[in-house]
Amino acid sequence: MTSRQANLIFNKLLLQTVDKALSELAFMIPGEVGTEKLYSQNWDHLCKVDFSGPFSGELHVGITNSMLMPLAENMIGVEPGAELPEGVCELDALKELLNVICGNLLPEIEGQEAVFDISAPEVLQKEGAVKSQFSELGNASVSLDEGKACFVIFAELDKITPMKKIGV
Amino acid sequence: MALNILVVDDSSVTRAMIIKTLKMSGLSLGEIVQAANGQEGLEKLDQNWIDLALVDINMPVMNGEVMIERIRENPEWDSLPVIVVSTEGSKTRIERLLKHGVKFVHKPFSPEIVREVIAEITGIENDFQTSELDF
Repeated sequence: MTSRQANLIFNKLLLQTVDKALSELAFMIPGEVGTEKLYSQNWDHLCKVDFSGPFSGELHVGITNSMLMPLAENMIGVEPGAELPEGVCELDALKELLNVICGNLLPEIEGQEAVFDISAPEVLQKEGAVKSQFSELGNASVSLDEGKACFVIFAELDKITPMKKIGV
Repeated sequence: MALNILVVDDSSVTRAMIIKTLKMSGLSLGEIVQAANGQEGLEKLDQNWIDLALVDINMPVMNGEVMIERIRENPEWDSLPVIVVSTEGSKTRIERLLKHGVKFVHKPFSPEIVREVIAEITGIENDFQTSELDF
């Protein structure tokens, strides 16, 4: 396996995990999917989650404003346009989506015996958004009727078991 | 029997999802108490009579694993039914949690799974109303 093939595999894994999380958590089925780069475009909302374990890294998401409220409404199960329950913030929906994707993706990459610690997801200020100190492992982008979102996972490539096997 | 339930998760959205699931499950509910981390969860346990706790793992201040250890160390709470609701995918950590006598629900979860696990851990399956889940 070459590093190019590995990149394709990690893109696919990320995309599958995003698709599963969106459909099962928010009943949202992506129309178009791809591997657009998150930081090649501007986003209304950005969020990231850090993880550490056999390898460390970050998962970032960018989302359009038009998709944020439908995401929260679908996750909680309220009618479109209805008020969210008291104390519930729509950005928490994005953070939880990221948390679920991260928690489901890492065992797919490193195996189910690996133990990872996942930090609390945080909203990134657009002005201060930086790529990452880590290297890019995979990208996924989804378009829905409601809007669009892009994901990218950054990680310590040389510590990932499948990457070690191909000598990256 | 109406159950008083503690929901511990740092995500307000997840707490809202769990509470909605509980309300639509047909389970006879008493008070639902919320906490945003393990430390707050222990404080709520101290202040309220709780019959069942649903606890996340990855939380700031005190994570769910430490909270569950503290629960099991306390004679007042050592037999409290606890369900872990988490994205946790590590078999190693899940097995460690199961040794504390908890049940595990993986996120994303369906209302039916939550209902089944509650019935299993509380043993009050017959108290569920017969109405279908309506989502």
